Amino acid sequence: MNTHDTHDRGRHVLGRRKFLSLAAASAGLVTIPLGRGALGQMKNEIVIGGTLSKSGRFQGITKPFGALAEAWAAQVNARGGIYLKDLGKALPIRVVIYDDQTSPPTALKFYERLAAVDKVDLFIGPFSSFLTNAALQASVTHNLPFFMVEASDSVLFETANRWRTTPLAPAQWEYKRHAEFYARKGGVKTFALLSRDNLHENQAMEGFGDWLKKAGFQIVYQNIVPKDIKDFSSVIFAIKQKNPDVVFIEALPPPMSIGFLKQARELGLNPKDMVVGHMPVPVIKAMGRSAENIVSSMYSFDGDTVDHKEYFALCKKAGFEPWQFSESGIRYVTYKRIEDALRRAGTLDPEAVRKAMWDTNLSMYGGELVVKHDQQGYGTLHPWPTQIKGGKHVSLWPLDKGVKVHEFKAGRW
Amino acid sequence: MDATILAQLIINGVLLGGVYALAACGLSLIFGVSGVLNLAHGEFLMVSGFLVYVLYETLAWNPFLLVAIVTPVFFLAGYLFEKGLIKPLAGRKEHVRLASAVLVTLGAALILEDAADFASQGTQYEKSVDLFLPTLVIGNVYLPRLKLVMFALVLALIVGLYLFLKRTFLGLAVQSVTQNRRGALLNGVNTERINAIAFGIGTVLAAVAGGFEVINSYVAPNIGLPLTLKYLCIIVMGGLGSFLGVALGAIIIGLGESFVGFYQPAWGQTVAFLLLVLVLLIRPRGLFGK
Repeated sequence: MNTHDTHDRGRHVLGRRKFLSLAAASAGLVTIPLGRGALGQMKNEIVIGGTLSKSGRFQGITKPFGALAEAWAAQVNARGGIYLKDLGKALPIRVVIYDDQTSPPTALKFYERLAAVDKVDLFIGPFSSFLTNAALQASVTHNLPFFMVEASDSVLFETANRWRTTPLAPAQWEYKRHAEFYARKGGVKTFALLSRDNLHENQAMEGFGDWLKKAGFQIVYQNIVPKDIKDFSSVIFAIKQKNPDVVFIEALPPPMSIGFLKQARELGLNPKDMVVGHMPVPVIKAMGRSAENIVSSMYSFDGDTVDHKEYFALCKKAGFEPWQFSESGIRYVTYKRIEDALRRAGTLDPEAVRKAMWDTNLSMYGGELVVKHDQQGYGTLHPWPTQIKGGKHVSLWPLDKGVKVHEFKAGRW
Repeated sequence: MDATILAQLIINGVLLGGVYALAACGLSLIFGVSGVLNLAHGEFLMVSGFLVYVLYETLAWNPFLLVAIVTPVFFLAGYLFEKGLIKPLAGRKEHVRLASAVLVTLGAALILEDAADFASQGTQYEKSVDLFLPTLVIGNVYLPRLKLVMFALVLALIVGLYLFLKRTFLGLAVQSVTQNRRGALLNGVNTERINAIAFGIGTVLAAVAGGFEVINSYVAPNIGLPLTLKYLCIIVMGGLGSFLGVALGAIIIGLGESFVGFYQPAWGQTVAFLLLVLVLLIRPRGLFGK
């Protein structure tokens, strides 16, 4: 064996390693001062990514939200895109949406993909706290701003995460305006409250109870039922025994509302008024004429402001009316938050966008809604009361108009 | 508790138990004849509910009529299910056959659930038919007419099944296979055919229950397995292979859910499992088990 050769080969290998190290270091030195800002100069679009439940149990509730996102992107781009001061130009937006199949692990998988493969500039959240809780992990892993949408469960805020905020107020605020409505309307004193055994629904019901008590109403029945309950007869008998003026049920997925209402109708539960927190089209359809005059809620209300017109036009473009998919109102507010945060940040630098997101102070709907975030990341949006009339949601807000429009259900099934 | 509420809870429990009994009888029949715990039983129920819903949306006919129309399809489905998936396991050793049957039926359950999920894409996940019959009120007691009609139909079906098993040659053959498979074989009974027929009849009972489910509440792709578990509770509690036991077990669980749900709704769904444990502690073979 020729030791000289071996020595030479060793030197040669070492030389190559040194060369590669130097090359890498040089590339790093050149890139670091340029930073994300310089990479941003090369960008020709703003990529916003998220998932929606195109299949699985939420599919019926989120069905047109992909089209809504496309309509929003088309509208922003038709106006010339979003102006970013640092770049000195406006960039168009592009929305990338995957199907999370209403499955938290699938949602997280796609948020990872959005960051790693699609190179999104920011995340827009999936439907529900349930899916958001899993998806949020990607914001921490990739240091990207996460604009949550239909998510406000307290569990999302138990762990500090500076990359996320929600437009929604805590779940306890969900029916604050309903308590205000009944206080103004008068004619009822006692309430029975029922919620599906899920964190969000339970907190919303507890919050409603608190608002009602503050407004001087009496809670005569309050209970939680299991998620997969199908027979409500016993609960209905228990409620009937308390003879409340108003019965309220809080369940995000339609089956509980459908099951409860059908059986309430059969078993002669005839309170003066019936409030169903979430009353999407399937519930209205399943109940037919019996859905008339049930009080519910929407994330929008009657009005003629610029935001009203824009929101209604986007829904129309996406092929639905706002009342058909109530949560589209939260989506719209989120789109406006994103536009507002990007304009104020003036850059795609994630840290700057993140700061702008937290500093939101966005007045909408003629000042009826001012979107801000508290120190935890909660927002200020909570629903407005509606009533089903002619198979559609009709807004009971503004209050002065709402109390005139509203009719007590008074046992008319 | 006043007498009206007591009466109301008892009536509700019995009516609820009646609907449970229907599908549970189907599962019990399949188990009694073939020795297979069909974990896809609840899925057949779910698919039947879906079919009734789709037909109702398309034709707008009376949903009870639609239930009657779809049931023969499910006899065929159950028959072919046995021929295609269960029969090939027959030649294996007993413990291997049982384990394989559990895996095969569980696999079929998951496939049916995913297929229903896929078929639901772009539409509402849960399906429900709006049918309301005015409630019968006697004094202060409410008797939901829809549930009464269902209960009457369930009773008619169970009585019909009983008469079929006791009075017809085919029914006696089914019973003989349940009691002693080898003995039946020695007496010339085509046990393979009886297995498939039992699967067909059991599946029809699940299909009828599915139709009632979509009329009374709703069906969704994921309701099958939890329902199968509840029916298993009922047939184990009643005693494997006993129709009377199944009927009694179903009524006990219905009453349990009714009373517990009145005081503590959160425990209403768990009561089936608690009652099962209680019955098995006192009578390990179930109420009417031999």
